[in-house]
Amino acid sequence: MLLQNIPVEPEELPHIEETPHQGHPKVFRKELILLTSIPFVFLLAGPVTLLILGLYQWAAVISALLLALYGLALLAIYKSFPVRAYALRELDISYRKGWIFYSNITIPFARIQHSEISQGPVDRMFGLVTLHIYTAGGSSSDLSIPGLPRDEAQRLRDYVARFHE
Amino acid sequence: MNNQSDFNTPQRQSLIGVVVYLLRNARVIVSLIIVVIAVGREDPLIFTLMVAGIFAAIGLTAWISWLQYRNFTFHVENDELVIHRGVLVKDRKNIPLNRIQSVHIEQNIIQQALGVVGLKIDSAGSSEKELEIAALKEPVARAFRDLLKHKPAQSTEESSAKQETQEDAASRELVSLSPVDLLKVGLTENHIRNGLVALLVVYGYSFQYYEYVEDYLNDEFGDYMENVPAQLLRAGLALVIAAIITFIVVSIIISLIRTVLTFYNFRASIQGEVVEIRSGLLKKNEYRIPVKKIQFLKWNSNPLRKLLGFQTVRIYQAEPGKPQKKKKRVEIPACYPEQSVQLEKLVYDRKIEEGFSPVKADHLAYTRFYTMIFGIPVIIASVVQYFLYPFYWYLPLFLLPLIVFLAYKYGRSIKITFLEDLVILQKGWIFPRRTVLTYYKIQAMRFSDNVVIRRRNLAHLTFHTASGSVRLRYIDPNTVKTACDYAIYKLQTTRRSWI
Repeated sequence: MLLQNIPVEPEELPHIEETPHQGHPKVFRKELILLTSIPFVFLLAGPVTLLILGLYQWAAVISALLLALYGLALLAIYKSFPVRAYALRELDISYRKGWIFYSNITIPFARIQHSEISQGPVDRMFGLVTLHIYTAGGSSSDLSIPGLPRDEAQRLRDYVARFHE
Repeated sequence: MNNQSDFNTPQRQSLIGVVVYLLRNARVIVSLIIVVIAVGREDPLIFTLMVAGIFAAIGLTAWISWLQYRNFTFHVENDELVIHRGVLVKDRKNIPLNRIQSVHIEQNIIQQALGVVGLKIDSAGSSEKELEIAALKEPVARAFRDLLKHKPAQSTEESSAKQETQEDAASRELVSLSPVDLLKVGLTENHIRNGLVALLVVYGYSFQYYEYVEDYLNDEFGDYMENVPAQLLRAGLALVIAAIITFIVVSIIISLIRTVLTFYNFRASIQGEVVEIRSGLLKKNEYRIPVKKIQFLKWNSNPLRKLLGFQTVRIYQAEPGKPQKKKKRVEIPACYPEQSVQLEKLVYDRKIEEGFSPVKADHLAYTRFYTMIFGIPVIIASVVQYFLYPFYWYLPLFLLPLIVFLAYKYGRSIKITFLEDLVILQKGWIFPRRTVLTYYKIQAMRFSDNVVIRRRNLAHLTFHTASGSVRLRYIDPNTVKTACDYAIYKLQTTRRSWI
C-alpha cells in the first residue's frame, strides 16, 4: 500500500506537559521582586499618614496587614518562579506560569499573527525583554513571555517568525 | 457593473444625510429641553433666557449637521478606501481594501423613514471602531459594498465576471420565518432575562434625569411618600405576588415586541460560500457572512422551544484584533432539525451525530461552586433582613435547596465529546447549549487550575478561537492534558486555514 494511515491513540501523542521547559534567568526573579515591592512602598504612605495623625493602633494594624500581603506576594514569586517556563516544539510554543493560579497555553506557529519584543524601564535595568506573540484570538489567547535575555528572545522571535508572513 | 456611480472620485452621501445627522444630533437638544423645564420652571427670566439658548443650540446643530454632511466624502483610490470628514478637525482615513473585514448595510427607523441606508465598514488593525457612511441610496450602497468586497489584486474583467457567477449562484433558502414562527419565537423567549434587561434599560435611562424626577416627586407627593414604607410592609406578600405577575406579563409583552422588531421578515439563505441574513421591522439588518469566517456555531434551547421542536443557532464569526469588544451576534432564532443539519453540513462539512462516550465534568465541584456563588448572597440577604426588618427574614433561605438542586443538575449536564474532526460541548439543564468546534479553527489551547482544585485533582480546559474562548471547568487533569495534545495534533495535521 502506498498510503499509510496509521491510527493514532491519544495516549501516544507527544505530551506538551512532558516537553522539557526552559526557565528564566535568576535575575528575572529579582526584577519580579522589585516590581512587586514598588506598589507596597507607595502603600506605606497609608500607615505613615496614620502615624502623623496619632492613630498608632490603626497604623500598627494596617502595617501588619500590608506586611502579610507583601509576604504572600513574595511567597507567590518564589513558589511560581520555577513554574514559569516556555517550551518550544517543532510546530508550537507553550508557556506555563502561576502557583496559586496555574495555566499552560499552547499556540501553534500556524496561528500566530505577529510577534514583537518590548523592553520597559525596569526591564532595561535588568537587561531583560518581553516577547509578545499575538494570535487572532485576541488578548485572551495572546502570549507574553517576560524576563528573557535579548538574544534569546531574538532567536525565539526569528524562529517563530519563519512561520508567519 | 450596471451602476453609474463613479466611486473613483470623492462622493458625497445622499443629500438626505443632512437630515439624518440633524436627527442624531437632536438627542442632545431633547436632553437640554428636559433640563431647562426642570430647572427653570420657577423663574420666568431664567426660563426665557434658556429658551433663547435652546433656539441658538438648534441653529448651531443644524449648521453642524450641514457641515458634517458637506465635509464627508468617500471614494476608492489606489485600492484604498479614502474617507474625508470632520467639522472642526478635518481628518482623512485611508483603509486598504484588503484590510476591510466586512461591510454591512443597516437601516434604522430614521433612515427607513427617509428612504436611505447606512453602510458600516469593519476593518482589521485600526484601533477605531467601525466606520459608518450614514446615508446612501440603497442601489448606491449595494454597488459600493460590492466594490469594497472585491480583492483589489484581481483585474476588473475577472472580478466582474466572478461577481456575475456569484450573483447567479443559486441562492438556497435556509430559514425564513412566517408570522406564526415569529409568534412561536416570541412566546418561547427567555422572558425573565428580557424583563430584567428592560428594567435595567429603563432604570439606566431614567437615571440621568433622576435628580429632577426626585425633586418633582418630593414637591408633589412628599407627604404621601413618607407613609409608603409602612404601607408597603402591610401590603406584604400580596404586593410581592402582584409585582411578580406584572413582571411576567410585561416581560412576555417585551419579548414579543423585541422578537417582532428584530426578526420581522427574517430570511437566511446560502449563496455559494456566503450566508446571507436579513431581518428587522424598524431597523433592518443585513449580514453577509462568508462561511470560512464562521468560527463555530452554538445551539441554544429551553423547555418551551424543545416542545415546539426548534432551537436557536448563534453564529460566531472571526473578528480579528478585537474579539473582546461588543460581539456582533448573528442569530437564527428558529432552526428545525433539518435546517440545523444543513447548517452543520455547511460549516462542519457533515451532519453531526452524538451518542459517543462523552467526557463528564466533576458535577460535585460544579454544585459546590454555584452553591457558593449564589448561596452566600442569599444567606447574607437573610442576615441583613433579620437585623433590619425581622419580617419573613427566613424566606430567602428557602431558595437554598433550589440553588443546590439547580447547581447539581447543571453540573450533571456538562458533557464533552471528542470526535475525529470536532469537539461537541454541552452545558445546561433548563437552558441546554451545544457548542461545536472544529479543531482547525482553534487558535490556542490552555490547561489551567488553582491550588484548591489541584488538591481535588481537577483542572480547567480552554479552547481559544478567533471568536472568543470556550472554557470547561472541573475535569480530570489527565483528560485535559490529552485533550490539549489531541486538539493541537489535529490542528497541526489538518492543512486548512482557520479563515
